[in-house]
Amino acid sequence: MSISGIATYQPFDGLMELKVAIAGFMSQVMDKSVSFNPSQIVLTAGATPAIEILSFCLADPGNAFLVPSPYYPDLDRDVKWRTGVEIIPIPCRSADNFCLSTTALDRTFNQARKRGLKVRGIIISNPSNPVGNLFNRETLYSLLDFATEKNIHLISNEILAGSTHGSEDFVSLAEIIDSEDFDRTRVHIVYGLSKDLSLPGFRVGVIYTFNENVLAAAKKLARFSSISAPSQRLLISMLADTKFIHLFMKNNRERLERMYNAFVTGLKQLGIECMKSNGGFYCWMDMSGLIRSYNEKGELELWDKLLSVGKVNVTPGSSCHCIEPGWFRLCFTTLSENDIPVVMDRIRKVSEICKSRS
Amino acid sequence: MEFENPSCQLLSKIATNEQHGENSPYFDGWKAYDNDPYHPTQNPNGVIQMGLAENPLSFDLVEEWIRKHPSASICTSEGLQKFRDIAIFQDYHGLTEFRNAVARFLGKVRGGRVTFDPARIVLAGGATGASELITFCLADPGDAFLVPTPYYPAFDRDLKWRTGVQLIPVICESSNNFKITKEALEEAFENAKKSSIKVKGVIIANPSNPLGTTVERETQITLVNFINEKQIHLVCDEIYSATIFSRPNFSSIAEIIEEVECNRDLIHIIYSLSKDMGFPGFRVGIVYSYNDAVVNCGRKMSSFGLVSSQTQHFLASMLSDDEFIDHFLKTSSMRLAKRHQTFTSGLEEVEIKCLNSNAGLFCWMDLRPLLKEPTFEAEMVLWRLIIHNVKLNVSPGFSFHCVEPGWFRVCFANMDDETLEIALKRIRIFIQATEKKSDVTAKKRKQW
Repeated sequence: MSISGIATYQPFDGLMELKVAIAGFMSQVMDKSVSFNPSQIVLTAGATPAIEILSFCLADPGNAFLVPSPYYPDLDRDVKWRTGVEIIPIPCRSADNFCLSTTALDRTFNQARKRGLKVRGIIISNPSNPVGNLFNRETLYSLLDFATEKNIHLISNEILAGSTHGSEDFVSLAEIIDSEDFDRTRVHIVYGLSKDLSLPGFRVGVIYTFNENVLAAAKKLARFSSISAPSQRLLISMLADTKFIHLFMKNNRERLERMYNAFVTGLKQLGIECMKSNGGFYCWMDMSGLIRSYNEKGELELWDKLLSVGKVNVTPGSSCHCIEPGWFRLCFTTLSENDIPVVMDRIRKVSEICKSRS
Repeated sequence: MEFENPSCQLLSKIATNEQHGENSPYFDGWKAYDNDPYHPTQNPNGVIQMGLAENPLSFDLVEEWIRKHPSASICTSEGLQKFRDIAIFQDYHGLTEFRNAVARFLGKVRGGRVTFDPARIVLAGGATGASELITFCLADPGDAFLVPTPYYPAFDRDLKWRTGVQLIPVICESSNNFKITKEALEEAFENAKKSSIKVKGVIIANPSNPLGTTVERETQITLVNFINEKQIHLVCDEIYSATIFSRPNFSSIAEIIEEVECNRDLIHIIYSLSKDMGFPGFRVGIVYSYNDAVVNCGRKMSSFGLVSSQTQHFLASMLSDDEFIDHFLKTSSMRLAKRHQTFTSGLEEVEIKCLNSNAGLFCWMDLRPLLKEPTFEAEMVLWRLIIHNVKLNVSPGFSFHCVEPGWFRVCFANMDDETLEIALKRIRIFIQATEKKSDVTAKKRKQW
């Protein structure tokens, strides 16, 4: 292909060939449980603008989205910053494995209404971040029922769909829509290649929507965040190699599982329990036993100790809007197996300091 | 146009308003081209695209460079060792070597008369993303920017749509070659004040789109004094800075502020490689600000339109190849000069004048003599004639907010030599037929 094919103006919402390739990839990643229609895809320079564009499309300034907490910190920026839209957390608890309860959802919605806030939708991440939970079918049905009843949207960020491990199966919102007679016009899925394919540098995000008006609007808004053409071309080639993709996903999942189990085991030996999870690049650690005061201050003191003394950078639950203090997200994918004893050793040292103090 | 479809009520105002501008009649020309695109053999009677400011004239040089530098790509065996690091790099500061190369390139384009600090370079999703980003940083919903007319139509969408910011035109007229005057700036500012609209800054394009002229030093000094006095921002879109093909030379705002006293916190430059290098597909947008707070805030917004690390890596290599860049800039300029000369002299043969220009990928064509009457209705009639009968997609002045009817922007760089000849031929035939018609009409009148 000559430079003029790549360097010149391309459709702002992405090349059709790449949409076709990504539709195929998404289906492959989800073990062919569902197929995706390339014509319902808008490509963006990363999942970050994908979420911001949906926020701009589905809500006016001052409106709100409900989001189960804890949720990943950057969601605040993506949904709220330039849009003027609010996030209202739906608190999830360790007693429920940090899974979303419909009671909490209902209560949060009603509280928002009482405060005079107009709720435009619910945003979930599945697998969730920072906990790593998978949403089961029943919960997804309940969410769809709720969204239909309240006439609001449902956005599912499925960017980690291929980064699962363990025994539970991932179920996409697209699969639920397929099987039942739900009102599709309120369902939107966010995806990207930053996690499952480990290519965050290339900036590839996906908005997959069943609503043709949202599709039309998002296509126009994609002009502010289009994917660089050379990267589109590279990925068209790469994703077309389904044998390679299959091998990659298989290896990726195996290595993820190995690392996850090794970390969970190692932390357990230090007396630190992790919430059971089936996806993501992290362990969700319960370090509440080590914090001096059972509040955000105590948590941040521990975080600082881990960073400055242990030289281990983990994400404190408070920055994820977790209502229970003492939880931390530890990402393990940038490390190798050789690093595990080093990490454990450092955490042990900090843990001993904390225990000796009390 | 109100959407009554209930499912549209589920959407936001931004998603359902007309601010995207795609329902404007200006797009009819594009639609005509999309439905009937010219091809030398497959569709020789199709519409020739003269509304797209693209610059493929020097792609052969780029291709040769790519062939000679396989390590610039992370997909070749020579460049593969960098794949891992590049693929995971998503820092919104951008690759250091890329920022360094861009800073170097910016200085080169300005003849080395001024240097740029890589730490002030903020990445964005093309110039489209860069324009929106700087607007988000400088203004709140309801605030306004002053923009000299005629101006690039997409400013209406890029600067206003999601930001909620307004644009107030600063009227420029052909009587002084559309120069930006202090009087016009003051008038626009006062009008805003009367309507209780807060003006946050002025935005100019230098070189200008659609005029194709560089903004004179004196005018820029006037602008700097104006914004300093009012304590408002000056945003300079210098996206066409390397498309200068004849005198006068280009003066960047970066040079002006070295000579004139100015609060540098008010000065910002928008840039991109879409025009100078011909790489719109790469989506390389740059905001260069002399204001630290803007750089810090803008940088965080880069996440909404970061340049692909693969592209950054490739360009870091290409833009720091001094010998190649010098040769490219010189050759590109020469080829643009030749194109401009061919086109304007072809138009002169049928007595069509263009504004004297020295830059850009287009001419600002004066078709006022062809208007039945000096109105925008007449301009629209003429434009539709050109689209559907002459089969050229040109851009009418009203879409650029020009206050005088009869001006058209015509792009001349986005096609090969043969196609340009055919476009000129069609124009000649049209003009000659129009003259014949008016001769006949005049004769008929005489008979009466």
